[in-house]
Amino acid sequence: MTTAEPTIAEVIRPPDVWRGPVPADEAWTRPYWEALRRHELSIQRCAGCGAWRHPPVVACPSCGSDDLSFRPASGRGEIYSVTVCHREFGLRFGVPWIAAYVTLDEGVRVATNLVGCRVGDVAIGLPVSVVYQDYDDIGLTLAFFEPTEPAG
Amino acid sequence: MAAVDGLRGKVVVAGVGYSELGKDTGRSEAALTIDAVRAALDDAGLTPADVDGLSPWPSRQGADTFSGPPLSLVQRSLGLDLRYWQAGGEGAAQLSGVINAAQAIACGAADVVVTWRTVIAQPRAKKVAARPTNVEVWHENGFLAPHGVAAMSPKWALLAARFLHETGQGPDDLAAVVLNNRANAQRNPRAVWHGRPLMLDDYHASPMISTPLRIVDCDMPVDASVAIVLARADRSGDLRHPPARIEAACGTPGPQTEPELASAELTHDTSWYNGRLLWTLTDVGPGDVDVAELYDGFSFQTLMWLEGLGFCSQGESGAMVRAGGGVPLCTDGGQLGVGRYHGLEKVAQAARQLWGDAADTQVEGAEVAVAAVGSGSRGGAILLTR
Repeated sequence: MTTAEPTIAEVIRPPDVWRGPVPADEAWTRPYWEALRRHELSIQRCAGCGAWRHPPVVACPSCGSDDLSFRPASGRGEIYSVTVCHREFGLRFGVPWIAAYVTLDEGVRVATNLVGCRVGDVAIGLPVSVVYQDYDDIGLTLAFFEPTEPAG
Repeated sequence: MAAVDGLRGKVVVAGVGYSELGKDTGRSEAALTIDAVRAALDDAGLTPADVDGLSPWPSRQGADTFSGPPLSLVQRSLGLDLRYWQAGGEGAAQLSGVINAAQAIACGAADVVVTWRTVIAQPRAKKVAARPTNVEVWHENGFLAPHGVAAMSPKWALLAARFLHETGQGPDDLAAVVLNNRANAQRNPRAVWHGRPLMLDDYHASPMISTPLRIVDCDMPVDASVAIVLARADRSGDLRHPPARIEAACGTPGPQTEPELASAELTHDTSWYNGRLLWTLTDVGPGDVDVAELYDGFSFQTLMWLEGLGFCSQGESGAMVRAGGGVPLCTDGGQLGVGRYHGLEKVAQAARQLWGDAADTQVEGAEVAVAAVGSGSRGGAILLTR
């Protein structure tokens, strides 16, 4: 109901060159970004109580443990919210592009962009899977998501 | 049973003032601000010599085009002798200047505090700064900005889409807010959309920006400043207006200060938590409110505040606005009608309504007004009474 414009027929692809914002190198998030370079979606998990956490924390608010590490996640989830963007907003994407929150099977929510689909094909609740896009010139890999059932 | 609120009734809105408003005034943020502050002091019946506190939001950091003038430039230009000053960053966002000032006055740290919000339109901002490539982003934003979710329209569109999905509402419900506010703006000569009402067909023909938000769901960037003078209630005898008392004010972020990813329920935002907290601080209830000046940087945010504050059931806000007859809403035309003041003007308009000083936008006999501002974790609500 809240998606739109099935008239735009092209399948959205990740940008070939990344000119958008890049994450700063920070100790508490570095394992996440290093794992993406290895094509692993890795999410912080508490050794004390098993809770998955994203964005990461430096102490577990549930059990108080400081024993936190990044563990491979399934890379699968479903769309929690989605918007088809018809302006660039400084992201250096081509338009249209799709921003989404995805709830991973582990229960945490990530921000991402949907690719491998048409703008009319996406809706809240749709199952999606991670795809990795390397930008080797700047040492960055981003985790995009695409529908688990490929676009027809 | 009302909770203890140490603020209750101790502070009044003494005066409000506006600068000129336009899409490109060519004037500096500081000059606009001085105009608004002087107008607010005149409105209160006070002078710069009476001011002993400044509490704007946000604080100016470097060359940004978001934050208005540096506090220091306003203080020096008016020659103010301050006991209290702060300029907010984190906190109740657009209302933090008012809430911090009121709390300072209530505990005796100052007697007369001025707050302001000054905005300039983006087109001028783009002239001075070419956007860089691969800009570095920090902290939690590092997980959002590379996917475009730090940009305002996509960020709020994701909240809007989820809100509409959960409440079973749609485009006509968003349109109801836009049409209401555009209609109200026709009674406000200061409004950027004055003389340009909007019909439902116009709404649906408006370009889509970031689904479900069309361009007319987004407020128009403007150059403008609004200033508010707050004073101790017990000096109200020498003020020009009858007291518009702050009955209650709150600005909780809810359980997560980073709501986009960390909140279990994205739609449980400032409107949800402050919409409930506000009524625990007072014996007044939503049924007593005569005027509701609710945030409308984007149309759906007004719907969220209507539901969060309990003016209607969840999912009923769009139908209520469409039918008319609910609480008078965004009476000056709101940001969707007047322009992107960014929220503080809600408090100013609420006070003017209680003074009976709202000109053609006056709601007759208004005695209780709520101003609620913000979205996500950042925002708050203020209840004013005569």
